[in-house]
Amino acid sequence: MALTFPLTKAQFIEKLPVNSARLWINEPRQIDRMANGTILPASIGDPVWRGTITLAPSRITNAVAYEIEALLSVLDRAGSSFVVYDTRRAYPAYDPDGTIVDSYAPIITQLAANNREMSVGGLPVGYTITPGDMLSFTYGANPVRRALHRAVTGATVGAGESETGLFEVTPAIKPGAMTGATVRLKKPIMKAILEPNPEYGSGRPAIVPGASFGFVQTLR
Amino acid sequence: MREYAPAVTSFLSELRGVKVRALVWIQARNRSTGAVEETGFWNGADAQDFVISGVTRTYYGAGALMNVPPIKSGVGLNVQMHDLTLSGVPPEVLQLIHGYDARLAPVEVHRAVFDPETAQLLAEPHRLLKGTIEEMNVPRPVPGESGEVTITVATAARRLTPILTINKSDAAQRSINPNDRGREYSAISGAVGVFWGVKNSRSAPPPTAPTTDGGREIPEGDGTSGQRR
Repeated sequence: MALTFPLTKAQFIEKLPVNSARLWINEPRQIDRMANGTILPASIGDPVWRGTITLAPSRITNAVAYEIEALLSVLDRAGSSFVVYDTRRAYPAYDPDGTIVDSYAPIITQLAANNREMSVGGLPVGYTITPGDMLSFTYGANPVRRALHRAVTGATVGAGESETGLFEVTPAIKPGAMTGATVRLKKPIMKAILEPNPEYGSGRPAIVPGASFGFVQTLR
Repeated sequence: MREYAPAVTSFLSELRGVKVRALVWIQARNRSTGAVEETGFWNGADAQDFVISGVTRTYYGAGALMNVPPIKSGVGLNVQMHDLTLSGVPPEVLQLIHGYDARLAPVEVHRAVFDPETAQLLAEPHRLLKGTIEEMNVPRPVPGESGEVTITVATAARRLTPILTINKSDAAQRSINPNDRGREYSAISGAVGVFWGVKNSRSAPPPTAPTTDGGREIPEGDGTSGQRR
């Protein structure tokens, strides 16, 4: 059966024997440095998540290595994309295997006017968003955009409440995000495009060195 | 000196970082219907609506607008040319290139100032440039490199540079008013001798009457008309 894009977690990212991974986000800036060292920054673009993944070497008879090479060649084309989550921190710290959130349907309940704070509802009392937790939700249409955020400050669902307090996330929440959107706390995903020319396809005696590739978030 | 909105002025005086985006608005003709349709590009992350002069405009982002050059302006009638760079990949840009006739299409460039902390727009974007599309280059890129569509925009002073037409036709005048016969004989003006009080001694044959003339006779000197008065 033909693959449809973006490739789902099960189709790509969960198959990878990750050796090392990196996921980061920064804002493209113009930085003017004065003679006394003062920095005058200006934002010249909006931030998107970027990442790199290096896979573990495998035995030359291991079929998985070749399957991943085939998938990478599919992704190294115009029009293909895949979803990615942070392989280091796939679950909230409070809920390290995702079993608590499995029986709930968290949603966005508040979005602050400063585009930096949100709150999540539909969670059991005591559920905690720990600083550093990732979360994702969708917004917009045609195509549906996937937003991936990381909590900067934490929040807990207090006794007798159904939602967390406002907590700050990074990056800033984009215009178009709506309250009521389903929040994914377990393996939160974003849509990404492979950086051109991933490293794969080499071999040594008895060993296939792990492929390595980079990716960049896409909103389209 | 440009006058900014009060919110922008007070923000800029704080000097705590700037978040500025450029907005390009193009009004091109639809090739199939002839109607003027509008499209906008900006160098923000995603499509976003901005209210400019009371009208909501949708600007497409996600890298469609690659570069806006420093806008030059000055006193006088010099035509300033600016090269805006768009990515040739997004469907909105392809629609501009292939779906619309962008020849001499009006272009406006605005600047939007945001608060970098909250990503809120501080005031209505102010206009930097108003002009028309002069050229649009759509290169074929080398594999692995970016192919950027360059739009050359001429400022409004470009309108002053076309020279006037030397001749105007009868048809052009009739398109203004079908009963206006003021330029009826303009096609043969100067080619037909008009003789006042002398005998016609013209030897050249009369010119051919224009076909739009509706069968009316061209007054030509036939030896007697010279004695009309």
